[in-house]
Amino acid sequence: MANRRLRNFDFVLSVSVIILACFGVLIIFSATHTNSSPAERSLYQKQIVWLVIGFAGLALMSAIPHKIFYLLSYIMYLAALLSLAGLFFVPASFSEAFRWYRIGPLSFQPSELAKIATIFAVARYLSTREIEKGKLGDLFVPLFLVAVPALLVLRQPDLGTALVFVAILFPMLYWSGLGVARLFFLVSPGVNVLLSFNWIAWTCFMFVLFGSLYVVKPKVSIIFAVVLVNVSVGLATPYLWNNVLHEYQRKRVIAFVNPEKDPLGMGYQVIQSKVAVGSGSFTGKGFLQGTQTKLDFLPKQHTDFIFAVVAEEFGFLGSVLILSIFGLMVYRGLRIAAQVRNSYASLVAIGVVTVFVFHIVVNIGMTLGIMPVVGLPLPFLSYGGSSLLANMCMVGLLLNIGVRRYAY
Amino acid sequence: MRTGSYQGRRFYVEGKDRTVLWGIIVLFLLLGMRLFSLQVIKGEHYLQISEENRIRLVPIEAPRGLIFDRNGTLLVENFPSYTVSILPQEVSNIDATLERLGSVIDLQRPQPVPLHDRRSFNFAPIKLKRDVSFDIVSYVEEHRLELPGVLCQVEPKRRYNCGPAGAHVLGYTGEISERELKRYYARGYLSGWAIGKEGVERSYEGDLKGSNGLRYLEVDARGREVGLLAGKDPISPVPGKNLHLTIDIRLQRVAEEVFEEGWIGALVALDPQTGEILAMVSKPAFDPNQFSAVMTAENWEKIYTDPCHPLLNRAVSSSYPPGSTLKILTAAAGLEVGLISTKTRFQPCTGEMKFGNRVFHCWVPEGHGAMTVRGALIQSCDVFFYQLGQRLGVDTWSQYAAFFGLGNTMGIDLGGEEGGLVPDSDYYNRLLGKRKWSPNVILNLAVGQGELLVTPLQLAVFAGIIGTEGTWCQPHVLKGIELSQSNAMIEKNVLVKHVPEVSKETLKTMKKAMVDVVNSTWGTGKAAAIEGVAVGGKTGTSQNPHGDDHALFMCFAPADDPVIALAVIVENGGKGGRVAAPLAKRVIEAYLFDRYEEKYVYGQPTTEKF
Repeated sequence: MANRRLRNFDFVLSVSVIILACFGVLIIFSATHTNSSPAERSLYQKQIVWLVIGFAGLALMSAIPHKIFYLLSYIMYLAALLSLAGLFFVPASFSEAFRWYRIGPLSFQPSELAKIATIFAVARYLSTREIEKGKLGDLFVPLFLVAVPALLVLRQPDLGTALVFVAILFPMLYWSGLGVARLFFLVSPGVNVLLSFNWIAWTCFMFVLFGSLYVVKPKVSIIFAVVLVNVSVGLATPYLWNNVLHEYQRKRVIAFVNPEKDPLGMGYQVIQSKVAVGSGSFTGKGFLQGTQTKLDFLPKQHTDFIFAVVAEEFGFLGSVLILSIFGLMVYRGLRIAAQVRNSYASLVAIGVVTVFVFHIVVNIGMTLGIMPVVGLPLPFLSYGGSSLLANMCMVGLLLNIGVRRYAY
Repeated sequence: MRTGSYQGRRFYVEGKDRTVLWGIIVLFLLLGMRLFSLQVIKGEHYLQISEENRIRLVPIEAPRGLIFDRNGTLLVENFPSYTVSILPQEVSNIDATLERLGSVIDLQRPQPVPLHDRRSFNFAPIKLKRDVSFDIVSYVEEHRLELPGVLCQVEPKRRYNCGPAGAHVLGYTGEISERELKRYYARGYLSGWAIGKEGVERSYEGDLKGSNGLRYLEVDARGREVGLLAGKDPISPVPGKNLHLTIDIRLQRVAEEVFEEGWIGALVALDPQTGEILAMVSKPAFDPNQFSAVMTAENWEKIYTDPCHPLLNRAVSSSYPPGSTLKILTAAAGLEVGLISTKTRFQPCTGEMKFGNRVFHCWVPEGHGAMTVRGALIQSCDVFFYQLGQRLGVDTWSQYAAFFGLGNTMGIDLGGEEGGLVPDSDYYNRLLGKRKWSPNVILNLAVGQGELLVTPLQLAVFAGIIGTEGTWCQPHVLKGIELSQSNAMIEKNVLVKHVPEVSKETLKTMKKAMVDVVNSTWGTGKAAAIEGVAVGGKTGTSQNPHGDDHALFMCFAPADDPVIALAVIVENGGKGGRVAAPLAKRVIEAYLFDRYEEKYVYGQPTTEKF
């Protein structure tokens, strides 16, 4: 038994993660070593402490049979919701900015572990339903399961993490058998909002939507719901935009979508980040030699914009290497999700993979100036204890599932 | 029924992993392509931006060249002064800081700093107050902690050792203006730097300026200096070249003090053999030191609205009707053309003479009687010159005026030179229309009145030409420029030429007449006579529609080999012989006998350099 488990243990995945995590400590050191504040300069040491805690979390998560998680799914989910809601009630001395709990010298962000709990809950629900049959009612519960933590996190406010909760849902629905067409109907109101500003694009989109409804021929109730929601959203959005939102709110949204239009506000980070990345050129400026980061031009260079440090100091070669290691890690996760026989475990695995992919693509995308700046850490590289711990736990889960891939 | 207990449902992948994998590959490829575009395709471009981000080039203003007089007395030097500046990016509460500073110094509130300046990459400190006292410097240094971002910088300040003496020749420096900056930016000027505004400071700006040095500083995103950029040595500034002027500051002081308080006028003294300006006075004067310090709005107001225009250099930029001084010109033209000889007498002067239906008066109502040209010059008889002028005609007369350099600028190395006005028939045709003017305009011109205008400088050069019997020298105030390394000096090229159109004989006659003007019993210029020295001169009293007559005098000395030629005008001063001639005498005496009071002599050049 032990021998078989060892054979199923995903060494490639664990080695990738160890490389990334250790590299993360080095990069955090590079990003902060010239900082004027000693507290900032010692952040890499804190990261090492968190890395040790993270490995403990990884070991724990990989050791417990996933059946336990299945049984505890909803309880853990409720606990996560309580911890998120608790942030709004805890006295300020114990929480910072509604995001962190302080435990001794360490601050902890409950939203990180809430991601895992939400994956558990959604996975458990989906694994007990036959989603592929396309019952509308079956979709509302998972929607509700992600919406509650997402809204709580959005109130903190932490838009990036809130979006992660929403992002988890769709691949998990797909994985549990929801067809592409129905997924499309599900996301159509969101696309509708974005396209409603362009009359032509919106019209085209509506044609595609109605066309696919005609081809797929779902139940009348679904057709009715999709059409109603889309038409009302399409009409309401421009009205809300022009009449309800204030000028400054509109500006903020525009700057969010296109930060380069606001070079002194939101765009400042993006421009400086692009300069840092671009100036790394092909081979980079060398470890500890990045001028953009060393001289403080890049805000948040050790957290959300850590990849800019990588790109500046190690150039295109280094960036692509790191990106490849991320890709390898994600691929191994996906492989586990595909091989595992148990429906719940598979859904958990695909949820974890989704979280990683979303973080990686959005974080690096915003560093490269092709994604809005939403404030998401890059797994294993960004400074941040809770995030590192949660990521290690998720890797632990993947390894756990991988080891038990042929068991029910 | 409990569908799907934990053991119950089995997962079938059914190719979904392929779809997801392709989705992930596409996303990662997008990131990779973006990386390729930023780092490989546009890498150079961003590398340059990041270099510019971190390197601040700080130009070092070169110390301006010093200015000496002809005897090596230091007239203008540089002096350290302190400027209080602020680095806005270092200050969290600008208003509080400014308020606090305002309690010690009288601040002129700086322009509100726009937000983007606080974030822009290479900004430098903003000057709050220049030239503050040492007390304020120590206050700021003592309160460093309460005044973050406030600093004291040392800047060179121009110091004019003689105060207002020679102000119009030296000029002054001031902060470069927006318009000048546009023109001179390429030559390394920066906003806030000093530039010569008038006088030598302006005309020799290129030599005085020197070339900037450069420091390479590494700065962080907040504009804080991290230190000197490794591997880039600063370029030291090359100080501006030192100028040696032709001015004798002692004579200059004497020449300024001969003017009584409140007089308006000008005086030019030059060496007629070389064209070197020995002294140049324009009254009222100003103190150029005012401009190198902080000019208060009050002072500006005072200088610019002063009806006497103290900044105007009357010696070269103002032109006056020359009055009888130019009878010399009329007489010389008459002799040259052959209309008269030294013995010719016209109709006797009865105090007036009728031309057409107009009566023209002589300044002596009783009349001078019949005179030769010599007598007419000595007593400055108008009637003689009316008749001579009438015979000459306006064009011949103006042609001779041009031979003596009148009516044109002479190219003195000071800005704002006026050419004066010598009318000819073209001029009147343009002014009044063809045949619409009486040829009798010449009557006024012949006695130096009418539309005719000359500058004091032209008058002094004119006197010099007579005194030297025909040598014209380009007037100039620069003697030479010191080479930066050695003490060797490049002398200014002196432009000397002979006036060939007028014969030596005529000039000699004129010279004799001028000596007689000063020395004979009836001479109008007797007040300029100096015992033992043959001074030649000619008085002028020019009528002026705006008030009292201007008093003029031009002269040279000593007559046999003049070393000084001089012209002086006192606006609204009255009779030239009584008012202007004595001034000339005092200046000539001081120069010829080297007679200077102790107070006019300055000490050795100070060694304090900046």
